[in-house]
Amino acid sequence: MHTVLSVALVVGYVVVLTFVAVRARAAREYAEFSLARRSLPLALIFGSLCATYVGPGYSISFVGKGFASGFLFLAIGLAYALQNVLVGVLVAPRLRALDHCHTLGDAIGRRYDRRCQIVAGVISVLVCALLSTVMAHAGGLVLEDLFDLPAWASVSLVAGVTALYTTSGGLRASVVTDAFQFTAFAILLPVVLLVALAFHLDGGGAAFAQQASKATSDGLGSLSSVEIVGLVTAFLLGETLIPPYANRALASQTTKVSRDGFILAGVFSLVWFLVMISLGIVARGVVAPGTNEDRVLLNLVKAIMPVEGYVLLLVVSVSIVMSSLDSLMNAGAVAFTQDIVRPFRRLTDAEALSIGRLATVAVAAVAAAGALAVPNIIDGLLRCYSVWAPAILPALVLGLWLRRPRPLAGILSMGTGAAVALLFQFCLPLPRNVPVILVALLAALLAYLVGHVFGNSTAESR
Amino acid sequence: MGTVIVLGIVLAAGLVIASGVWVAIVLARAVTGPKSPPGMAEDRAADPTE
Repeated sequence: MHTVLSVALVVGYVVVLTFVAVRARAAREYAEFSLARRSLPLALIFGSLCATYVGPGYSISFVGKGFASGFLFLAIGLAYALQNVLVGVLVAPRLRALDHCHTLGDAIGRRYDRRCQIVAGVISVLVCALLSTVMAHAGGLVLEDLFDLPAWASVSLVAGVTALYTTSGGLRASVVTDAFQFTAFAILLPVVLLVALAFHLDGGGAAFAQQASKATSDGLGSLSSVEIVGLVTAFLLGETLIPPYANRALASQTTKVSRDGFILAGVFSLVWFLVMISLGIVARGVVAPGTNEDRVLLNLVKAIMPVEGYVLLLVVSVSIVMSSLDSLMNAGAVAFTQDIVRPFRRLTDAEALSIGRLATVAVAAVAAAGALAVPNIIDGLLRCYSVWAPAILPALVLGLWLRRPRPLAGILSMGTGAAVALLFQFCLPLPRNVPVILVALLAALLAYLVGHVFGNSTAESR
Repeated sequence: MGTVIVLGIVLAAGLVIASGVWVAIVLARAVTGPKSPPGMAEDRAADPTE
């Protein structure tokens, strides 16, 4: 009986998801594939942004962090909420107001020059591919649990199915399926928390407060102040306007929708973190101490929910991963087409659409191949953030706000930020846990200053 | 104190569920509507400055 119900739930979920994806239709033009014709309303922008950032890092990992460090990561997550609100107020409307821009690279190219667009495109594709490998790894973990598949088959399945609808429907399919996936986990995971609080909280509110206090003290004791500053910086800047978010800012119906979508998503992130961390704290009374942080949520649900609920949660967990993965695949593919191919070759609309689709498949292949080498979800994400923020943010934000940005400043800032971040992240670890993101950001800002002082303005260099 | 914290967490869970329901309603209208679903009309003239 349990098996029949579980299979029915999985099949029902997949049927509804397929219906939603089919209704989103195949993209027939490049503008539809890359920006959904700039017609997305507030609810879909909000749902899609939340679905993209929630991902495994902000669900599975945050439950694990709540389990190990109590409310410590809620305070760190505040930085992420603040970042979204600041992007909504300061950057997203300015991005949306730029006409005929498909990507961040496009926007940077508009404010500086074509060389800057190409450099930004290369960094965007690299970061999207790296983040996709982390997502495919996370999805593979869940599928291994669900079907007892080998790791290579799990990651291939996640990457393959996601590539299928993203290749066909582009950004529109990505946003519409994201919104559906968002509704599924935004309803199911809080229900798990309510069940846990109602039936599995021995000792009531006082016991919860005690567990939270002990876990938070343990968490604070396990991190140095330098590490906490590094984490806050990573959450504040690391994921700022990564290509999928920038695409949603550009694809909004209006500048107001773009602004409000980011502000709402920022406020929602804080509430979401509270729910995830609370799940982790409740799990301390249910799950064995010493459990791997990435497995706390799955073990908690297995312990307190009926089998059908556990199976449904596994499917929803795969959905969480797919919603992040499809956004990254589409953003990487559009950045490749728009910022790397188009500056060198005039493309017809049909050619651009075909290249975008092929690039989506290529990103999926890279994600599946690289996923097996990812050690840990949150570490993988933090490494990617430490490259993205220094490489792109100074050039992007200053480019949007300065009256006459200099191309030399853009190139130097992006090149230095990326090089310093890659060097210290992968080749030469910094001593005493000094955060790579801070050092690289400082280097990028200095390089920008040098380029701004010695470079010509955009108009002169053209 | 503990009870107040738990009540706050229950409220947060309620807010998350309400957000999910809001997006679900808009999405249902978009995917089950007529040829040009609300907010997804193909020929919408998007005005960047509203």
